[in-house]
Amino acid sequence: MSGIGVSAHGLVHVYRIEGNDVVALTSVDLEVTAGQMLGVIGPSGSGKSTLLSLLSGLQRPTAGKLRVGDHDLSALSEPELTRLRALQVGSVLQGAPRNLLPYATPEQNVAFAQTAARRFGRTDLAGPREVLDLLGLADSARRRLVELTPGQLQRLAVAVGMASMPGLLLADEPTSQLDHGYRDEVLDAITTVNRTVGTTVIAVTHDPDVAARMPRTITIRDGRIGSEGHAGEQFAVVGRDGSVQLPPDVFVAVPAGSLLRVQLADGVVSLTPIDRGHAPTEREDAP
Amino acid sequence: MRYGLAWRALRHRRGQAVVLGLLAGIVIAACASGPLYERAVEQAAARTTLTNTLVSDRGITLNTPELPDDAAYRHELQDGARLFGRPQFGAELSVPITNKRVTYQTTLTSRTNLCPHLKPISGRCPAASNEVMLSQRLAQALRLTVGLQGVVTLVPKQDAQPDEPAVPAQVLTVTVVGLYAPPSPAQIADEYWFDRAHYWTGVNAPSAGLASGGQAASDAIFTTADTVDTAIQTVDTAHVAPADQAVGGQRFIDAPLAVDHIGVDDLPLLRRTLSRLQAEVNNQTNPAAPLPTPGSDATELLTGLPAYLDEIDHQRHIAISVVPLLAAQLALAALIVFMVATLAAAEQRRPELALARLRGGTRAGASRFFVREIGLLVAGGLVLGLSVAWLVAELACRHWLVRGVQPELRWPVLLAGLGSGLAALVVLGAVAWRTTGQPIGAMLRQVPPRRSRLGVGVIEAVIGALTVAGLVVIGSGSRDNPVAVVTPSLIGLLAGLVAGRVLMRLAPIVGRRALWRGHLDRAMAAFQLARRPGARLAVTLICLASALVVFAADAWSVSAHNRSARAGALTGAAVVLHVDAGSAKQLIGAVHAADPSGTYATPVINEQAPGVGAAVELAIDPKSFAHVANWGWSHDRPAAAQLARITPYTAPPITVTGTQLGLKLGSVQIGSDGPPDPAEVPAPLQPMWLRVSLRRGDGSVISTELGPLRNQKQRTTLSGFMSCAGGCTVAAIGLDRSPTDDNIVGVDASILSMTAGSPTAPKPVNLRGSNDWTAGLTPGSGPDQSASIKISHVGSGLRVQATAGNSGAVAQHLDVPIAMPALIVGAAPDARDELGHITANNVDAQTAAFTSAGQLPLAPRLGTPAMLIDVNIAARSAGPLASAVTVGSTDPMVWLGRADSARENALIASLSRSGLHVTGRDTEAARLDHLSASAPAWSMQLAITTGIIAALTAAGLLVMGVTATRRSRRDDLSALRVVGARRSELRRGAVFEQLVVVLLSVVVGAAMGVVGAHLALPSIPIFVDDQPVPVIRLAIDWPAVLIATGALAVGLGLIGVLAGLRLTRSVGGHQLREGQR
Repeated sequence: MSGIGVSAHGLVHVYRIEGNDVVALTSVDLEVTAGQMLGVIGPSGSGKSTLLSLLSGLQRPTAGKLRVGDHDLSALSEPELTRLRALQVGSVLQGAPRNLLPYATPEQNVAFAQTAARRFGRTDLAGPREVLDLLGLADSARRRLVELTPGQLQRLAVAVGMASMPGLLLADEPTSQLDHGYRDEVLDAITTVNRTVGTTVIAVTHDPDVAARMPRTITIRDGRIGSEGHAGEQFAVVGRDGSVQLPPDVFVAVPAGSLLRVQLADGVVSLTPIDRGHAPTEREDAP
Repeated sequence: MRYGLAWRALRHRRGQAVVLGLLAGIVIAACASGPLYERAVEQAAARTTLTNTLVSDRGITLNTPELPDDAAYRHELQDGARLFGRPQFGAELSVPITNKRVTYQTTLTSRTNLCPHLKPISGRCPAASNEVMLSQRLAQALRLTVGLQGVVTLVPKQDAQPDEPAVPAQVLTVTVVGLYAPPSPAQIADEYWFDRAHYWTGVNAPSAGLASGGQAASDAIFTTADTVDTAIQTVDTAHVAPADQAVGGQRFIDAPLAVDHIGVDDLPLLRRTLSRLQAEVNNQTNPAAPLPTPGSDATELLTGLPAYLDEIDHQRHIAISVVPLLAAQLALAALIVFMVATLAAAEQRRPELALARLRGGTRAGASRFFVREIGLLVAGGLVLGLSVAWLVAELACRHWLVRGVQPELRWPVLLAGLGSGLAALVVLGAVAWRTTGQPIGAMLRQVPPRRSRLGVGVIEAVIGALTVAGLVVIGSGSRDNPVAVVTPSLIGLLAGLVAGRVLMRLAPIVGRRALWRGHLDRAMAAFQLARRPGARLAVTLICLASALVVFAADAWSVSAHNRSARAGALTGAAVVLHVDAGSAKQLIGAVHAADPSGTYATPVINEQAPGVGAAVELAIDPKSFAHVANWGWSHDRPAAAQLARITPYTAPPITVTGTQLGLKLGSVQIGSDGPPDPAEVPAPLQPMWLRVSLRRGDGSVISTELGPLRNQKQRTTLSGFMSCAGGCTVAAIGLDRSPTDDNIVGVDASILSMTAGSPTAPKPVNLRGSNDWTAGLTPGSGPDQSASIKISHVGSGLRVQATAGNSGAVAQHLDVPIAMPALIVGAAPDARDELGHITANNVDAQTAAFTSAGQLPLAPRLGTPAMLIDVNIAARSAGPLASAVTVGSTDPMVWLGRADSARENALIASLSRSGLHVTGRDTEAARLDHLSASAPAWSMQLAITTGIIAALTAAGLLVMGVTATRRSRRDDLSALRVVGARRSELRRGAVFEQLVVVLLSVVVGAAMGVVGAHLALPSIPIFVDDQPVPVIRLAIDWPAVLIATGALAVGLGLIGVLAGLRLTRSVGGHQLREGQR
């Protein structure tokens, strides 16, 4: 299966915790084309994992549109969501062990993850060994999990997510708690999957180095997509209400409450901080 | 792959798998063991009932009008023949045999397969007509030997028509072809002889008595079937009465029951066979029925089987009602524990089930994933449970039930096993469905989500409603309702739920206080209890298990105590020796010589007058009886003072010896008030005679007439002959009057002294004080309202002032009371004498008077109704015991207070030296064994198994609780360790937590077990039969309850301590690394 695209328009998600509403995502607009690799970065509690759980159909959006391929996730029934998870969306949870049956071999773990897809009629699935081979784990197919290195375990978690060769792979912190060597090993594996299978990959990460290896990144802050990075360069994203989030380094220099003068000149938008003491008290063009 | 994965999952958590498998096995074993053990108890009841009876009682004897053969036997029994052993065909006729003018009454007998069972010591077995085989001693008595001939006289029976001429007797000349030695008692007990011990009555044996014809009875003579048949035909020649009234001869089939091959499944066929035979016999003997058709139709059926079959049915009913009561509760408890353990397992597997759903699995698919894994354990548990049930039943059969009974793998057992396995799978499916129904995100969380309080409330409400329903059913008296059967368990369960809730409410309060006071360990334990749902479940289930254990312990103990009390009370003492005492005095003397202290042995005579409802007495020696007798329950034992009431004041006997008795009289005044009716003409006063009654050593009373009494003022001596060379005791001094003299007479006489001895050398006899004499009843005089007698001192003699209407007057010496005091048990006998005293047999079967000295709840050995009298008093007026044999039953016994074989042997030797021989022996232990070999006792044995399994279940639950949560708990404790908590505090906290759960639930559960026992015990039969005494006591057996509770608290507490220590064993910061999870 080749990759599938993802689009979100005005996506809002609100948790209700002990009688209080907590806004996790607000007015998120996102387009991910098929086969793209996207890194989602942002501070803790910014809404990264919520976005992943919405994309995997584990939760439903409170408002807005969210499409995965041809499916509007907010309109799908529970069985249809189940089918979507079985056939089109693979998930890698944070922490490799949480993705795996601790008593099963890598081969059995992959086979276990393929069970639902087979039940839904997928007869063209690659065998567990082929999937493991894709992630460079063919030699470890029958080893016990405790015998695998952390890098291998994480690759196995990716392999399990890719068991049914989905069009979309959602990975939550795939390199957390790994040293540089293992981190690169896992990133290489994910990149291989993306390139070889064409699967769209959306990976949540805290790690700037990981983000740097992603062709495209988005930064979520306070439930909004604050910026987007391409080839190592960060761009602010203009929201559908015209709002723009400043990059973190700029935000340090221009703290909340600062006044900015916004000017558009020759196609260039400039933001100029103004000292509140020097702010004009009356219109300059006033007579 | 699916099951391979499930297998790997089980191996991954092998400890938990073992516990779950065991719990599944216990559920299935509890269910399967019910029908398995219940069936074994039924078989044992049938086997015991039939085995402990006489061969002839459990077999059948068919008297037939013609000489029977095998074909006739098959015709009669049809398919029921397979239930019986090899039948013996025979015939017998009571005839006199004569040789050389010596005649003995004997039984002319034929019996198939004789030779292997009665081997001739000379000659051979009879083979041809008129050949006979005699016992050696009969042959000697008749002076016959092999080859000689004797004559058997055949006297035809006379019919009921007196005008018909008598048919002359015929003789049958028989030839002796063999002599046999009478078989030993053990040989006679062989099934072959069918209890026909009357074949060997001995020859002129003292016990043989006399036959009706006046000749001495003798051993049977054996001959061929046709010889007996011909003889019977000859005797019956003139007989026209119905065949069933024949008394002279019988042709019969003896069919012993094949008791070793009879099972409860054969009982219906046995009943049908007996019913058909009885119907056939009734048809044959019904005068309205057509004449008996020739052939082999039975004319009489002799068997005790129907009564035994009824008893077996009764015992089976008991087994069916008791065994499920215990097994169902255990199964219910085990199933609930299994459910909770499964819930814990599902909770632990929540992330794995979430993965199944995350990868696109449906809720049903994820549930199947769980069911497949634990279902393997249920499947294993099915094999294990059935095996355990079988093993338990096999052990029970070997150690509790009778030999030869085996557990049977029948369809109810398999059905119960499969049904319980299915129930476990249903529980499993429900648990899995409940767990996988949560949102995937919630399932993926490390911390379990809070359960709905409403959901738990519904379970409690359902259990509460069922408990109330059970209590209502029990209160209404109906015990057959299944809800009533499991009510004790439901009570325990409900109390456990409530205790768990209370614990969770109180724990935070206690925790906060402990924390405030700086007790980290206690605070930690309290907070863990408050936050851990497993703690509440553990309280609930350990409470349930404890309730079951205590209920089982109390039920078993109460049952055992009741059996012990009944065994003791019905035996009378630890050991009862039946002896051949000739008299009460001999018995008393022998026992006193053997045990002078009177603390080990006591003489007892049981006197039973003939007839239904006749008085039954137990003559006892009150002092030694108080030491030795077993009254069953201690509260039924009377105080020594109460027993002493049967020993009244008695005067020392006045002994006279010789042939002449004399009374020296002072003044005598006799006056008459004329006839009672003043209108009548006064008749002349007729002479009165002075008489002295003397009691011989054998208890017989003789009278010595001393002569007429006249008015006089001078001293005079009256004397008469007495036959007391061996010594007599003075029983009474009386005035006899003529039966025709009905004048009211007043007598005032002074008896100055008494002499006894030879006419030439009379010796003075001390008449003792007037207190030793009292007014007595003149025998045969009938009630006389005007009669009175007063005895007073006059010097060293007596003054007798008597007034009498139509009777004489008697001054009775008080060495024997007028009426013997008796302690009455139950209703007093109805028979009364003229003075209103109870009349019943003395120990010599002679009528005596008794008076009530109080009531007792029961008499040892006799139960109720009965009378207890003083054997020492009874012996003074009693004759020989042997004379009582023909008019009732007199059973002289020696009761022993302890089962001590060495001391018993010494006592028997001492009795033997006194001329007493032991003829039989009963023991309390044997009676207890007999009571224990019954369906109620066997059924209650299951209570022990129930208690043990319930305790093991509780222990398994504790272990399961720790193993299922060990990893998360270890992390929590590690976190506390990292923030500075001392290891010892963590250890104490973990141990406190376990101990609080154990102690709280054991105490609450034990209390509920007591309540359950109080409610359920009345519905549990303890005995096969209902006897009024000793009463069945169902009061809580507190020692048993306390021991069970203590053992449970200690055992589970120890497991709790070990579990707590294990939780804290590897606690440390290293456990907190995420990768280790």
